[in-house]
Parts: sequence; C-alpha cells; structure tokens
Amino acid sequence: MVLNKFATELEQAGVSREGIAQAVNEVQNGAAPSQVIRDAAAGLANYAGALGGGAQSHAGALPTGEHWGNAPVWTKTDVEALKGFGSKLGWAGTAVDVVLTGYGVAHGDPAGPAVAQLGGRTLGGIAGGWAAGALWGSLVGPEGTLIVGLLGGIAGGIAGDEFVKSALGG
Amino acid sequence: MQNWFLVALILSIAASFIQSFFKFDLTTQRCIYWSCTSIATISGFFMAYPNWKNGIWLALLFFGAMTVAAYFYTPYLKFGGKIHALTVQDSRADSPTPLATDAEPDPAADAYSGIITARKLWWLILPLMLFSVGNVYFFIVGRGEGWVAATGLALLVLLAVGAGYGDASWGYAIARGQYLQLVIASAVTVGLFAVLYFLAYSAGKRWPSRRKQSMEYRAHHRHR
Repeated sequence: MVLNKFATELEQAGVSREGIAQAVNEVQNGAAPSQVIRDAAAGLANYAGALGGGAQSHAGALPTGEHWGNAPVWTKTDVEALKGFGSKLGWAGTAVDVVLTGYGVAHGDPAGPAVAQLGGRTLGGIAGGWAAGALWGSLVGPEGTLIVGLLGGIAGGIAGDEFVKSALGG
Repeated sequence: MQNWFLVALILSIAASFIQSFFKFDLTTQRCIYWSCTSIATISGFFMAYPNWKNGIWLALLFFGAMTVAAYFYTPYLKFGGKIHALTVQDSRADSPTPLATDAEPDPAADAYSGIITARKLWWLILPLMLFSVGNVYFFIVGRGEGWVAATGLALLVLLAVGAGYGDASWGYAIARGQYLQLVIASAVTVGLFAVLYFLAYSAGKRWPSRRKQSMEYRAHHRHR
C-alpha cells in the first residue's frame, strides 16, 4: 500500500518505470523510502543556490552511489527529469540577477559598467559550472560532482565579475 | 509610470519561466517565451523614462539576457529550422526521441557526460581562461585581489587536469580533437594550460580511470 503510493509519487515526479522498479526494490530490501529519495536528491537540495550551470550539468550525473551497485540504474528519462530541475535553478538565478541589475540601472546605476559586469559574471558562472561539472561527471560520476559543479559556477562567476570590474578600472 | 513597466517586466519574465513547468506543445512554449521576451524588452525601454539612453541599455539587456537563457537552459532558441542550445538533449528536443536510446547510434559520441559536445565544452573553457589569467594579471599590477587570482588559478588547474586525465582515460584524442581551442587556451595562459593538460593526459594514458558509475560510461554505450 505504502509502496504503491511511493511508486505513484515517483511516477508523478517524472521518474521512469525502470527507475521506479529499482527504487521500490531498494525499499523492499530494507531501505526507507525517505532514504532512497534523500540519496537521489541529496545534491539537488544542497546546492539550491548554485549558479545554475553547476546544477544543470550535475543532474545528468546525479543518481547513483556505490550502494546502488555498478549497473547504471537510472534511465535517460530520469536523467532528463533531474536535469530539468537543475536547469530551472540556473535559469531562475540568471533571471533574478538580470532584473535586479536592470532595476539598479533604471534607478541611476551607470548602465555600461553594470551591464558589463552582469555579462561577466553570467558568462563566467554558466561556463564554470558547466565545464567543471561535465568534466568531473565524465570522469568520476555522481560522487562529489554536485559540489564540483557548484564550486565551478561560483569560481567562474566571481572570476568574470572581477575581471570586468578590474578591466573597467574598478 | 515607470513602476508599471517594472511590474510588466517582472510578470513577463516570471511567465516565461513558469510556463516551462507545464508540459505542452514545444512550438507553443517557444511562442510564449519569445512573446514574453518582447514584452520584457519594451518594458525595459520605458522603465528608465525619461532617460532614453538608459532605456536603450535596458531594452538590450533584457533581450540579450532572455536570448542567453534560451540558449543555455532551454530548447526555445530556434531559427533556420534548427534548435540552438548548449546541451545535446535540448538541441534534440524537436526529435521524436530526444533522449537517444541505447539501441540508436550515439547522437553525440564525443559529448562530455553525454550532455555537452566536445566542441561546445572547449569553447566554454576559453572565457574562463581569459578571466583567470586576467585576474592574475590585475593582481600582479596591483589592481586586483589575491583571493580572486587564486580562485581563477584553481579553476584553471582543475579544468586542465580534469580534461587531460579524462580524455586520455576514455581513449579520446588530445582535447577530443578540439585543437584550435586548446591552442588558444594555452596561448592565453602563457603555456600553463598546455603543460597541465599534457601532464594529466600522460597520466591518464598510463593509469586510466574508467569508472562504471561515471557519466561517460553511462552516456556512451560503446564504452560498455
């Protein structure tokens, strides 16, 4: 009964049948459903503020840890569902940054420097998150990838922002 | 008056984002997204009224930002019959099977983690190298801060070593064939990127790491 509800919830969240079967199997073998969800979503929750690129590239790398065994248990549909989530995070972050910068310009911030710096940190953040995440995920897999992508995004964002600031003589 | 345009701006940007959570026809989603972009651009222009110069800046800012977001996060940027998007998945969003199954030929055989093609990933690395080296330079000439320079250097080392070791481990050619970007990255960093990349590449040849948990293994079924 509980398992059925669990499976339905997973299905509504966009998880594929294979993924659901795997998760239900884990539960039947003794794992608490909350634990399975926590393991799968661990990174997502931890880095909700990520500069986006990091989050997005990691969704692809998300699901399994050693305890899932060696076989890739999450299908590409699951990867897509999780990737979509990370993508939304980055998108939202960029949108908020742009609106705030625009608001500042409308209220007297010098337009040129404000826009240039926004461009620097957006480009740096997106590139840093994607590049660090995709490289690490390609080599290692899920473990640590979320953190690496987050750090890549932050480092890239800072680098871009500061580079433009210094180049403009700030 | 300006406040109404601010409200219109926020609403249009929010709507363009929120609509993406609903599953419906991609062409309609695309249409809504770019309609919202038009509203945001026009609102931006009038937001700074009566300062027309800033109005132009704001219009360009919002149009540019919506276009950038479309490229990096969505399959909405489409012209000439082709989707322009960073990820392999978004680029294929119009295809009946956007997520290639294992039975099909690999749609992007050289993609890092199966998500970003080698060509795009290597272009992404270049601005990062420019920023990193620039910040080190600004620190040396006394116009920047030490921690910023250190952050950039750490990123440079991570990317060069990660790319070199990974490419060799999985049996790819140097820079997965993206020689132009490798040369530019090396020139921009005064050779440092090349040195680190080739050291890591040699290490990867000698002591490869081919984890079954890695995204490389999952994404490209020829590795199995």
